[in-house]
Amino acid sequence: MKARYQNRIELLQGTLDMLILQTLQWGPQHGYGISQAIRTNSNETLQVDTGSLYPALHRLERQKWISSEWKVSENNQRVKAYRLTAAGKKHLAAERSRWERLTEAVEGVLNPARKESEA
Amino acid sequence: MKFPPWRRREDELEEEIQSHLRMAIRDRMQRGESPEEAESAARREFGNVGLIKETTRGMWGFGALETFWQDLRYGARMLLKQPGFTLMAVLTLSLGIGANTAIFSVLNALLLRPPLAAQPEQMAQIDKMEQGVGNHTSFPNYRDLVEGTEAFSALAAFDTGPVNLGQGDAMRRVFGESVTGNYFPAFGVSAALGRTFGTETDGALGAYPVAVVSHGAWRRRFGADPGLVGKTILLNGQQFTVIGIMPEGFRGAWPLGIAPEIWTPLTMRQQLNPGADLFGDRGAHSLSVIGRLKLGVSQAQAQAEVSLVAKRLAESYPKENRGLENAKIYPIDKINEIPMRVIPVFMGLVTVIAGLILLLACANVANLLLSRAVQRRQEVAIRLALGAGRRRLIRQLLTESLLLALAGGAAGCLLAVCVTSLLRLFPPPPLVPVPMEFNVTVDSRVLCFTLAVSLLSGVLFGMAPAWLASKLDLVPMLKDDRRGAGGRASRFSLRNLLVISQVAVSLVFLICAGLFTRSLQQANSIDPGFETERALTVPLDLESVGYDETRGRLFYRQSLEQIERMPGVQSATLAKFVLAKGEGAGSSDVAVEGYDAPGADYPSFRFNLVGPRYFETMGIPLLAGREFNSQDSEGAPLVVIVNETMARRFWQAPQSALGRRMRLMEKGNVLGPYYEVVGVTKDSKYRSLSEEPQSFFYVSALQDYRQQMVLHVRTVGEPSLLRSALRDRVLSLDKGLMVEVATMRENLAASFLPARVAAVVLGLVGLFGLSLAVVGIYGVVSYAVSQRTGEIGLRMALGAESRDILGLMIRQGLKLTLIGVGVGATLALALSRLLSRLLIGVSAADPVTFLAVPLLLTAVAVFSCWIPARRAAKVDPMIALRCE
Repeated sequence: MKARYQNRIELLQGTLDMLILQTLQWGPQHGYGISQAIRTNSNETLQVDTGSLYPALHRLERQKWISSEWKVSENNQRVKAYRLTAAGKKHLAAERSRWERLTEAVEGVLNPARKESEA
Repeated sequence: MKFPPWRRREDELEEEIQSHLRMAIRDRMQRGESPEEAESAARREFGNVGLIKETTRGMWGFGALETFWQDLRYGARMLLKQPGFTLMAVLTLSLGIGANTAIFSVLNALLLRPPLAAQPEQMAQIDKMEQGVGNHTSFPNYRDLVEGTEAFSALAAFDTGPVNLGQGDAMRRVFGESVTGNYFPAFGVSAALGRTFGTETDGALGAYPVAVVSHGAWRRRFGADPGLVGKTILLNGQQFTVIGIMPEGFRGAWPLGIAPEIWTPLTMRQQLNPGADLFGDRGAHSLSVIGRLKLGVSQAQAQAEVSLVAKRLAESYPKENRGLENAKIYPIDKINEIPMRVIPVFMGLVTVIAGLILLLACANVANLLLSRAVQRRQEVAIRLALGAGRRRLIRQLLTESLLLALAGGAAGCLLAVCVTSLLRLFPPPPLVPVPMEFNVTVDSRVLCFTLAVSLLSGVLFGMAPAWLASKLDLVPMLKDDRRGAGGRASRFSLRNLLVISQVAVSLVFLICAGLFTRSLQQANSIDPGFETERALTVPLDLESVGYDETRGRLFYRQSLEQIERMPGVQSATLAKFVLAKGEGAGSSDVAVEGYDAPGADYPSFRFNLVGPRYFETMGIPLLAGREFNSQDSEGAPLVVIVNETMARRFWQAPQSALGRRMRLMEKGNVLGPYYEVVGVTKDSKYRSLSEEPQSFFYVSALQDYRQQMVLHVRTVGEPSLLRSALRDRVLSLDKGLMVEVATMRENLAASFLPARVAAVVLGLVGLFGLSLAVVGIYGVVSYAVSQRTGEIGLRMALGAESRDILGLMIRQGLKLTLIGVGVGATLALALSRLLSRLLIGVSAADPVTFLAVPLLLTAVAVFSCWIPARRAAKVDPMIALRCE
């Protein structure tokens, strides 16, 4: 239990936004579902703190990148489901390319030799 | 929808979080955890619900609004926690704001409401603007104007004047208008009951004896009789049929709430007032003209057309139409220029007073807030220490002030409603002899004004205390050092300045009130120079009963003869106006023989037209010569009697004035025939009791017939006993006359009215200011006492007597009072000069007032210091020192 906890990585704010938008690409989802999906898709590595998740959801909604509506879940529960908007899709694309450039750059810094050899 | 708007989102957030938890628990239970385990684990995993909510809320963007809401709720709680303070502040503010609201609602009713008309912006009145007299023209001019202009769809003329309604004891003088047939169509207002008349009445003279009655007159004069339409009424003794009643608020084109009561066709004018040749005489300028512009025609176009016609008329008839070329048109829905020339002095004064009341109230609330800020230093310090920004703190304190101001504004509004409805119930005596109908109501404009005043005063009295309160030195405060931050205010701290200015302003008001009171006192001891105790007056209007000159002269002679035969009557006479009643006396340029005025710029003097035995009846002594007698009539040599001042001015001594001659300026700037001086009288008061001695002369009424004269009767005993007998005697000569008997005392009282009103109003304002100042002084001293308890204890322990302490504390309040008194007295001295014209027999720097009022005020101030000072003197040194 403890070991698993230590394996988790704190997410930076911009990254969390991107992950939420990415998760919503597969369809509308509620807050709990989003946190579960991120956890599962990251093989339990990424733990989404609810203290960041909900402010992020409400902020994204205010920025009109996602929209929300109340739905009844398969377990007959009233849940607030978030959906990606067109503007959100555009934003996600931009964020993804930025992220790819960033990881590439970080990779280059971490492994300069390989980069040189490739060049 | 819920209020405030973030409440719904609050609920949704709660539900969202709960559903999150439920799903987490269910998932855990499906993985085999027990319900208790699942729940506590899920909650642990979720984290601090309150904190998460708080952060999420921050994303909504209601920040500023929500903060304001918080401040509002917090402020309301703080105000409710100190009901005494809140009540005091709200009460003070309600007086200040209420006074302003009441005055504004009167102004609003008088000036800002356009006359009732369809599309009033399309209507214009034509004004000759000659020396500001008004807007008169003659019927022939009106005809030419109608024919010469195309800008108007209707151009109506009307003539305004008093009309006697009914007969005998029930007769009342009403304010009537004779109007052309297109008058009502021009306004586009139809009758509320019955109908109005139209252009069918413009034909033959005397053919349409119909009348339209105003709503106010219908209520006042006819007891709101629902069957009035169709009934016959008597106007100046002639029968008229009422055909309609106008809707409430229709006042023709009159500004200032002046309200005509009855409208009759202009073609019936001669039936009402025979004699004047209204329709033929181009020089008889008694009509006002009002028109409705054709659609799409601008005021400027209309003005151009009117100017063209007016100029032509002025050129063709220079004698009759002097000044007509300056005719101007102005829209009737704007605040028009005429009333603005009349009332600014009066309203300006009232507005200044109202503003000062508000300032006084604000100063006092600011003072209260300052003392409270001291009590709240600890709270403020804690909030600052916990990281509240200074701006946030000022905002919080200002929100509280605004809350107070709004509460004060609401209370003030209520107060204004009470005052204005009292005004409706007990209307003040009219200052002009025409009915005034203005509906002083608190409408949306008044409410906006009140709101603005409230918010302004909230910022005014809240800013400084909030600023000071947030400027705390934290460390000593948190250490609970009572003499710490703010304890030692500088000698001229804001509080002291406020108290000083309150004392000064209330002193100004009290001194002015004192001056008026003194002048009222003096007025009774002023010798007006004529008999005031045993005299009666009766104004007569022979025009209203349609007499011509021959019949009028006969009437005057017969009535005087009969009245002089009445028991209890010593003598009777006629005069054009009553002395010292404040009435407008006639005046004329005078050319005295042997005195060539440079450039024919003759001096102008006031005069009166008086009958035989006038000086005997009035008890005005003759210094030389004789008074008028029945021989001084038409055809006889013209005679004049001058007063002592005039005699001394031109002929050195009363005796040498006899036989000298003078001429009066007549119409068209030509000198008339010579008048010979046959008598010289002692000076008396002519227009008001406060006037200085001035040149004055009398002309024989028998040599200058007038339709309106005032009967003067000298009685043997108490004049009021003769009132009804005199009335009956005049009515027995013509029961169509309006008879109102007044004693000379009553006439004089009318001239005191402005001073009396001023004394009462200024006195009330002064007392209000004084009570606020007293509270202020009390506050300053009791604050000082609480601050210096330790010091006082020390002093007493070292041997100070309680008397010394009493003196010490009183001196502190006294110093402020004396500075305030000094400033106030200087201000009052400067201001009272402006009032000197209204003061009777009292100098503007009256030493009695200027000594008594400040002394009184100082005494009151000392008393208000004494109460808290006594508390200081009773301090037990042991307890005080232990407190330290």
